[in-house]
Amino acid sequence: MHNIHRNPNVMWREEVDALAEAQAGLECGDDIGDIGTAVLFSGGAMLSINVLGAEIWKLCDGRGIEEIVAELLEQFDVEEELLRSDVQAFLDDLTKKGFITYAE
Amino acid sequence: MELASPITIYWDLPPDPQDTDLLQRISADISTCRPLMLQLYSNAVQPKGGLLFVLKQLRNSPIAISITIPVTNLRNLPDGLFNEAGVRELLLYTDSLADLTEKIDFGKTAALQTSLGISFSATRANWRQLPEVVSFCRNNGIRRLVLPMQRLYSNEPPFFINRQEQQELAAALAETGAVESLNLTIHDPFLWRAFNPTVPFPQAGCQAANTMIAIAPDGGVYPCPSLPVRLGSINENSLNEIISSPLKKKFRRSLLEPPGECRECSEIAVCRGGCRGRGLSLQGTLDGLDVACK
Repeated sequence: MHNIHRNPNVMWREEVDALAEAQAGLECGDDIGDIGTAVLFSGGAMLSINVLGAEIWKLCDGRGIEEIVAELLEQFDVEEELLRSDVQAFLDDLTKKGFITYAE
Repeated sequence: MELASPITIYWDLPPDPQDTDLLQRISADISTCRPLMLQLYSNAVQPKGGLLFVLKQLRNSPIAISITIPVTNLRNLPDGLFNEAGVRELLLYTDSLADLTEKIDFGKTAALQTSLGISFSATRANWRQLPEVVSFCRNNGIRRLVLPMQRLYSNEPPFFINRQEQQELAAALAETGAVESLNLTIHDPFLWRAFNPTVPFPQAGCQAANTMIAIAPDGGVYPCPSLPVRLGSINENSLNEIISSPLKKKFRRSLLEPPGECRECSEIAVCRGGCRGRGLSLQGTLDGLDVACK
Protein backbone atom coordinates (compact mmCIF):
# COMPACT_ATOMS: atom_id res chain seq x y z
CA MET A 1 0.00 0.00 0.00
CA HIS A 2 1.54 3.30 -1.09
CA ASN A 3 0.39 6.39 0.71
CA ILE A 4 0.35 9.58 -1.30
CA HIS A 5 1.48 12.84 0.23
CA ARG A 6 1.49 16.41 -1.06
CA ASN A 7 4.96 17.92 -1.20
CA PRO A 8 4.83 20.46 1.66
CA ASN A 9 6.90 22.89 -0.42
CA VAL A 10 4.11 23.16 -2.97
CA MET A 11 1.86 26.13 -2.26
CA TRP A 12 -1.69 25.99 -3.51
CA ARG A 13 -4.90 27.92 -3.57
CA GLU A 14 -8.43 27.37 -4.78
CA GLU A 15 -9.59 30.12 -7.13
CA VAL A 16 -12.90 31.32 -5.72
CA ASP A 17 -14.26 32.91 -8.90
CA ALA A 18 -13.28 29.99 -11.10
CA LEU A 19 -14.72 27.52 -8.60
CA ALA A 20 -18.05 29.36 -8.64
CA GLU A 21 -18.00 29.32 -12.46
CA ALA A 22 -17.28 25.59 -12.47
CA GLN A 23 -20.04 24.85 -9.96
CA ALA A 24 -22.51 26.85 -12.02
CA GLY A 25 -21.38 24.96 -15.12
CA LEU A 26 -21.79 21.62 -13.35
CA GLU A 27 -25.36 22.49 -12.44
CA CYS A 28 -26.08 23.24 -16.10
CA GLY A 29 -24.41 20.04 -17.25
CA ASP A 30 -21.60 21.89 -19.03
CA ASP A 31 -18.16 20.46 -19.62
CA ILE A 32 -16.05 22.17 -16.96
CA GLY A 33 -12.87 20.19 -17.52
CA ASP A 34 -11.04 23.21 -18.88
CA ILE A 35 -11.82 25.52 -15.97
CA GLY A 36 -8.84 25.83 -13.66
CA THR A 37 -10.23 25.98 -10.14
CA ALA A 38 -6.97 25.70 -8.19
CA VAL A 39 -3.34 26.59 -8.72
CA LEU A 40 -0.31 24.74 -7.45
CA PHE A 41 2.91 26.70 -7.26
CA SER A 42 6.44 25.51 -6.67
CA GLY A 43 9.85 26.73 -7.73
CA GLY A 44 8.47 29.37 -10.06
CA ALA A 45 6.29 26.85 -11.89
CA MET A 46 2.52 27.13 -11.71
CA LEU A 47 0.09 24.33 -12.46
CA SER A 48 -3.58 25.02 -12.98
CA ILE A 49 -5.90 22.14 -12.15
CA ASN A 50 -9.61 21.61 -12.70
CA VAL A 51 -12.29 20.56 -10.22
CA LEU A 52 -11.43 16.88 -10.37
CA GLY A 53 -7.71 17.62 -10.13
CA ALA A 54 -8.28 19.86 -7.13
CA GLU A 55 -10.31 17.19 -5.35
CA ILE A 56 -7.61 14.59 -6.04
CA TRP A 57 -4.95 17.03 -4.81
CA LYS A 58 -6.82 17.65 -1.58
CA LEU A 59 -7.07 13.91 -0.97
CA CYS A 60 -3.30 13.42 -1.26
CA ASP A 61 -3.00 13.47 2.51
CA GLY A 62 -1.57 10.03 3.10
CA ARG A 63 -4.33 8.01 1.46
CA GLY A 64 -3.70 5.37 -1.18
CA ILE A 65 -5.10 5.56 -4.71
CA GLU A 66 -7.97 3.19 -3.91
CA GLU A 67 -9.08 5.38 -1.04
CA ILE A 68 -8.90 8.44 -3.27
CA VAL A 69 -10.94 6.76 -5.99
CA ALA A 70 -13.54 5.57 -3.46
CA GLU A 71 -13.88 9.07 -2.05
CA LEU A 72 -14.25 10.63 -5.51
CA LEU A 73 -16.87 8.07 -6.56
CA GLU A 74 -19.08 9.56 -3.88
CA GLN A 75 -18.62 13.04 -5.33
CA PHE A 76 -18.64 12.46 -9.10
CA ASP A 77 -21.02 10.51 -11.28
CA VAL A 78 -18.42 8.64 -13.31
CA GLU A 79 -17.50 5.06 -14.23
CA GLU A 80 -15.05 3.64 -11.68
CA GLU A 81 -12.49 2.28 -14.14
CA LEU A 82 -12.41 5.54 -16.09
CA LEU A 83 -12.03 7.50 -12.86
CA ARG A 84 -9.22 5.23 -11.64
CA SER A 85 -7.40 5.71 -14.93
CA ASP A 86 -7.81 9.52 -14.78
CA VAL A 87 -6.66 9.63 -11.16
CA GLN A 88 -3.60 7.49 -11.93
CA ALA A 89 -2.65 9.68 -14.90
CA PHE A 90 -3.02 12.82 -12.82
CA LEU A 91 -0.97 11.39 -9.94
CA ASP A 92 1.73 10.29 -12.40
CA ASP A 93 1.94 13.85 -13.69
CA LEU A 94 2.15 15.28 -10.16
CA THR A 95 4.86 12.76 -9.30
CA LYS A 96 6.87 13.73 -12.37
CA LYS A 97 6.65 17.38 -11.33
CA GLY A 98 7.69 16.55 -7.77
CA PHE A 99 4.39 17.79 -6.34
CA ILE A 100 3.55 14.53 -4.54
CA THR A 101 5.51 11.67 -3.02
CA TYR A 102 4.69 8.06 -2.24
CA ALA A 103 5.51 6.42 1.07
CA GLU A 104 5.14 2.82 2.24
CA MET B 1 -3.63 30.65 -16.47
CA GLU B 2 -4.97 34.13 -15.80
CA LEU B 3 -5.67 34.68 -12.12
CA ALA B 4 -8.19 36.96 -10.42
CA SER B 5 -5.64 37.82 -7.74
CA PRO B 6 -1.89 37.36 -7.52
CA ILE B 7 -0.03 34.42 -6.03
CA THR B 8 2.92 36.58 -5.05
CA ILE B 9 2.90 40.11 -3.68
CA TYR B 10 6.11 42.11 -3.49
CA TRP B 11 6.02 44.79 -0.85
CA ASP B 12 8.99 47.09 -0.43
CA LEU B 13 8.46 48.71 2.95
CA PRO B 14 9.09 52.43 3.41
CA PRO B 15 12.51 52.99 5.01
CA ASP B 16 11.13 54.87 8.00
CA PRO B 17 7.39 54.24 8.22
CA GLN B 18 5.55 56.65 10.49
CA ASP B 19 2.01 55.75 9.49
CA THR B 20 1.29 52.41 11.13
CA ASP B 21 -2.39 52.75 10.21
CA LEU B 22 -1.37 52.54 6.57
CA LEU B 23 0.85 49.51 7.20
CA GLN B 24 -2.03 47.88 9.04
CA ARG B 25 -4.43 48.58 6.18
CA ILE B 26 -2.02 47.27 3.55
CA SER B 27 -1.42 44.14 5.62
CA ALA B 28 -5.20 43.58 5.85
CA ASP B 29 -5.54 44.21 2.10
CA ILE B 30 -2.86 41.66 1.39
CA SER B 31 -4.60 39.04 3.53
CA THR B 32 -7.84 39.70 1.66
CA CYS B 33 -6.12 39.02 -1.66
CA ARG B 34 -5.08 35.52 -0.44
CA PRO B 35 -1.66 35.41 -2.04
CA LEU B 36 0.43 32.33 -1.43
CA MET B 37 3.57 34.34 -0.87
CA LEU B 38 4.55 37.76 0.37
CA GLN B 39 8.00 39.02 -0.51
CA LEU B 40 8.79 41.71 2.04
CA TYR B 41 11.78 43.95 1.54
CA SER B 42 12.95 46.22 4.35
CA ASN B 43 16.08 48.31 4.25
CA ALA B 44 15.39 49.96 7.61
CA VAL B 45 18.44 49.76 9.84
CA GLN B 46 16.17 49.12 12.82
CA PRO B 47 13.31 46.76 11.91
CA LYS B 48 11.06 47.73 14.82
CA GLY B 49 8.92 50.33 13.07
CA GLY B 50 7.96 48.64 9.83
CA LEU B 51 9.01 45.04 9.46
CA LEU B 52 8.11 43.85 12.95
CA PHE B 53 4.81 45.72 12.85
CA VAL B 54 3.85 44.08 9.55
CA LEU B 55 4.89 40.63 10.78
CA LYS B 56 2.64 41.07 13.78
CA GLN B 57 -0.27 42.03 11.53
CA LEU B 58 0.22 38.90 9.46
CA ARG B 59 0.96 36.57 12.36
CA ASN B 60 -2.14 34.42 11.90
CA SER B 61 -2.16 34.53 8.14
CA PRO B 62 -1.44 31.39 6.06
CA ILE B 63 0.72 33.44 3.67
CA ALA B 64 4.30 32.24 3.30
CA ILE B 65 6.50 35.24 4.01
CA SER B 66 9.95 35.77 2.60
CA ILE B 67 11.92 38.63 4.11
CA THR B 68 14.80 40.37 2.41
CA ILE B 69 17.08 42.75 4.30
CA PRO B 70 20.46 44.21 3.41
CA VAL B 71 23.17 41.90 4.71
CA THR B 72 24.63 44.88 6.57
CA ASN B 73 21.45 45.13 8.69
CA LEU B 74 21.60 41.53 9.89
CA ARG B 75 23.20 42.52 13.17
CA ASN B 76 20.17 44.63 14.11
CA LEU B 77 17.63 41.80 14.01
CA PRO B 78 16.54 40.50 17.42
CA ASP B 79 17.27 36.79 18.03
CA GLY B 80 14.28 34.53 17.51
CA LEU B 81 12.58 37.30 15.53
CA PHE B 82 10.78 35.01 13.15
CA ASN B 83 9.51 32.36 15.52
CA GLU B 84 5.96 33.62 15.75
CA ALA B 85 5.22 34.76 12.22
CA GLY B 86 4.83 32.64 9.11
CA VAL B 87 8.28 33.54 7.91
CA ARG B 88 9.54 30.96 5.49
CA GLU B 89 12.96 32.42 4.83
CA LEU B 90 15.30 35.31 5.39
CA LEU B 91 17.23 36.53 2.38
CA LEU B 92 20.32 38.65 2.86
CA TYR B 93 20.56 41.21 0.11
CA THR B 94 23.75 42.57 -1.36
CA ASP B 95 25.43 43.39 -4.64
CA SER B 96 28.88 42.84 -3.19
CA LEU B 97 30.74 39.56 -2.95
CA ALA B 98 32.90 41.15 -0.25
CA ASP B 99 29.77 41.75 1.85
CA LEU B 100 28.97 38.05 1.67
CA THR B 101 32.41 36.90 2.65
CA GLU B 102 33.00 39.52 5.35
CA LYS B 103 29.68 40.55 6.87
CA ILE B 104 27.57 37.44 7.38
CA ASP B 105 27.60 36.42 11.02
CA PHE B 106 26.55 32.78 10.87
CA GLY B 107 26.15 32.69 14.64
CA LYS B 108 23.60 35.44 14.28
CA THR B 109 21.74 33.73 11.46
CA ALA B 110 21.50 30.54 13.52
CA ALA B 111 20.02 32.51 16.41
CA LEU B 112 17.30 33.86 14.14
CA GLN B 113 16.06 30.30 13.62
CA THR B 114 14.87 30.67 10.07
CA SER B 115 15.92 29.38 6.71
CA LEU B 116 18.68 31.55 5.28
CA GLY B 117 19.32 32.54 1.69
CA ILE B 118 21.23 35.07 -0.35
CA SER B 119 19.62 37.69 -2.55
CA PHE B 120 22.40 38.84 -4.86
CA SER B 121 21.60 41.80 -7.06
CA ALA B 122 23.41 41.26 -10.35
CA THR B 123 24.73 44.39 -12.02
CA ARG B 124 27.03 45.31 -14.90
CA ALA B 125 29.81 45.67 -12.36
CA ASN B 126 29.44 42.33 -10.58
CA TRP B 127 27.84 39.74 -12.85
CA ARG B 128 31.14 37.99 -13.45
CA GLN B 129 31.23 37.29 -9.69
CA LEU B 130 28.10 35.11 -9.91
CA PRO B 131 30.08 31.84 -10.06
CA GLU B 132 31.92 32.92 -6.89
CA VAL B 133 28.58 33.70 -5.25
CA VAL B 134 27.42 30.18 -6.11
CA SER B 135 30.64 28.76 -4.64
CA PHE B 136 30.19 30.87 -1.52
CA CYS B 137 26.69 29.50 -1.01
CA ARG B 138 27.78 25.94 -1.57
CA ASN B 139 30.81 26.22 0.71
CA ASN B 140 28.75 27.73 3.52
CA GLY B 141 25.80 25.37 3.41
CA ILE B 142 23.46 28.00 1.96
CA ARG B 143 21.03 26.28 -0.38
CA ARG B 144 18.92 29.27 -1.40
CA LEU B 145 20.05 31.86 -3.92
CA VAL B 146 17.84 34.54 -5.42
CA LEU B 147 18.73 36.98 -8.17
CA PRO B 148 16.13 39.57 -7.22
CA MET B 149 13.91 41.47 -9.56
CA GLN B 150 15.21 44.86 -10.46
CA ARG B 151 13.21 47.75 -9.06
CA LEU B 152 12.67 49.45 -12.39
CA TYR B 153 9.69 51.30 -10.90
CA SER B 154 12.18 53.37 -8.95
CA ASN B 155 14.21 54.19 -12.04
CA GLU B 156 16.96 51.69 -11.28
CA PRO B 157 18.88 51.36 -14.56
CA PRO B 158 17.95 48.11 -16.32
CA PHE B 159 20.66 45.48 -16.12
CA PHE B 160 21.21 42.77 -18.70
CA ILE B 161 24.01 40.76 -20.20
CA ASN B 162 24.07 40.05 -23.90
CA ARG B 163 24.07 36.64 -25.54
CA GLN B 164 27.85 36.40 -25.70
CA GLU B 165 28.14 37.32 -22.03
CA GLN B 166 25.44 34.79 -21.16
CA GLN B 167 27.54 32.09 -22.80
CA GLU B 168 30.60 33.30 -20.87
CA LEU B 169 28.63 33.13 -17.63
CA ALA B 170 27.25 29.67 -18.43
CA ALA B 171 30.79 28.39 -19.08
CA ALA B 172 32.10 29.95 -15.87
CA LEU B 173 29.24 28.47 -13.84
CA ALA B 174 29.84 25.05 -15.38
CA GLU B 175 33.51 25.29 -14.43
CA THR B 176 32.63 26.29 -10.86
CA GLY B 177 30.47 23.24 -10.40
CA ALA B 178 26.86 22.29 -10.54
CA VAL B 179 24.13 24.63 -9.35
CA GLU B 180 21.67 21.74 -8.90
CA SER B 181 22.25 21.73 -5.16
CA LEU B 182 20.88 25.28 -4.94
CA ASN B 183 17.27 26.35 -4.75
CA LEU B 184 17.48 29.14 -7.30
CA THR B 185 15.04 31.91 -8.07
CA ILE B 186 15.91 33.75 -11.25
CA HIS B 187 13.30 35.92 -12.93
CA ASP B 188 15.37 36.85 -15.97
CA PRO B 189 14.94 34.09 -18.58
CA PHE B 190 18.35 34.78 -20.10
CA LEU B 191 20.19 34.57 -16.78
CA TRP B 192 18.12 31.48 -16.04
CA ARG B 193 19.46 29.86 -19.20
CA ALA B 194 23.04 30.63 -18.18
CA PHE B 195 22.46 28.94 -14.83
CA ASN B 196 20.29 26.11 -16.16
CA PRO B 197 21.21 25.43 -19.80
CA THR B 198 19.17 22.22 -19.90
CA VAL B 199 16.18 23.24 -17.78
CA PRO B 200 13.41 25.26 -19.46
CA PHE B 201 12.50 28.59 -17.86
CA PRO B 202 9.67 27.66 -15.46
CA GLN B 203 7.50 30.73 -16.01
CA ALA B 204 5.08 30.70 -18.91
CA GLY B 205 5.78 34.22 -20.14
CA CYS B 206 5.64 37.52 -18.32
CA GLN B 207 3.56 37.14 -15.14
CA ALA B 208 3.31 40.84 -14.31
CA ALA B 209 -0.16 41.76 -13.05
CA ASN B 210 -1.15 38.10 -13.12
CA THR B 211 0.62 35.87 -10.63
CA MET B 212 2.39 38.90 -9.14
CA ILE B 213 1.83 42.47 -8.09
CA ALA B 214 4.20 44.93 -6.42
CA ILE B 215 3.74 47.64 -3.81
CA ALA B 216 6.39 50.35 -3.77
CA PRO B 217 7.52 52.16 -0.60
CA ASP B 218 5.37 55.17 -1.56
CA GLY B 219 2.25 53.00 -1.88
CA GLY B 220 2.34 52.84 -5.66
CA VAL B 221 1.07 49.55 -7.08
CA TYR B 222 2.87 48.06 -10.08
CA PRO B 223 2.37 44.91 -12.17
CA CYS B 224 5.85 43.74 -11.18
CA PRO B 225 8.85 45.41 -9.52
CA SER B 226 10.50 45.45 -12.95
CA LEU B 227 7.57 46.95 -14.84
CA PRO B 228 7.38 50.71 -14.30
CA VAL B 229 3.69 51.18 -15.06
CA ARG B 230 1.75 52.54 -12.11
CA LEU B 231 -1.62 50.81 -11.73
CA GLY B 232 -2.74 52.88 -8.76
CA SER B 233 -1.84 53.83 -5.23
CA ILE B 234 -2.66 52.12 -1.99
CA ASN B 235 -3.11 55.62 -0.56
CA GLU B 236 -6.15 56.13 -2.78
CA ASN B 237 -7.66 52.68 -3.31
CA SER B 238 -7.52 49.29 -1.64
CA LEU B 239 -5.20 46.71 -3.12
CA ASN B 240 -8.19 44.60 -4.06
CA GLU B 241 -9.77 47.53 -5.92
CA ILE B 242 -6.58 48.10 -7.87
CA ILE B 243 -6.17 44.41 -8.68
CA SER B 244 -9.75 44.10 -9.93
CA SER B 245 -9.72 47.45 -11.75
CA PRO B 246 -10.34 47.75 -15.51
CA LEU B 247 -6.95 49.48 -15.82
CA LYS B 248 -5.11 46.52 -14.37
CA LYS B 249 -7.10 44.03 -16.46
CA LYS B 250 -6.51 46.01 -19.64
CA PHE B 251 -2.82 46.25 -18.86
CA ARG B 252 -2.59 42.51 -18.22
CA ARG B 253 -4.24 41.82 -21.59
CA SER B 254 -1.56 43.91 -23.26
CA LEU B 255 1.08 41.47 -21.98
CA LEU B 256 -0.55 38.29 -23.21
CA GLU B 257 1.08 38.51 -26.62
CA PRO B 258 4.89 38.66 -26.79
CA PRO B 259 6.54 41.65 -28.48
CA GLY B 260 5.97 41.71 -32.23
CA GLU B 261 9.61 41.03 -33.05
CA CYS B 262 9.50 37.82 -30.98
CA ARG B 263 6.52 36.21 -32.63
CA GLU B 264 8.44 34.60 -35.50
CA CYS B 265 11.51 33.83 -33.37
CA SER B 266 12.46 30.17 -32.94
CA GLU B 267 13.55 30.80 -29.34
CA ILE B 268 10.22 32.13 -28.10
CA ALA B 269 9.58 28.85 -26.27
CA VAL B 270 12.78 29.40 -24.30
CA CYS B 271 12.66 33.08 -23.37
CA ARG B 272 8.85 33.50 -23.53
CA GLY B 273 9.28 37.03 -24.81
CA GLY B 274 11.86 38.04 -22.21
CA CYS B 275 11.39 40.73 -19.57
CA ARG B 276 8.67 43.12 -20.68
CA GLY B 277 9.68 45.70 -18.10
CA ARG B 278 13.22 45.82 -19.42
CA GLY B 279 11.86 46.04 -22.94
CA LEU B 280 9.65 48.95 -21.92
CA SER B 281 12.42 50.70 -19.99
CA LEU B 282 14.96 50.47 -22.78
CA GLN B 283 12.74 50.68 -25.86
CA GLY B 284 10.01 52.96 -24.57
CA THR B 285 7.19 50.62 -25.57
CA LEU B 286 5.61 47.46 -24.18
CA ASP B 287 6.08 45.97 -27.63
CA GLY B 288 9.80 46.57 -27.23
CA LEU B 289 12.18 43.66 -27.62
CA ASP B 290 14.10 42.62 -24.51
CA VAL B 291 17.62 43.52 -25.65
CA ALA B 292 19.10 40.71 -23.54
CA CYS B 293 18.25 38.31 -26.35
CA LYS B 294 20.73 39.93 -28.73
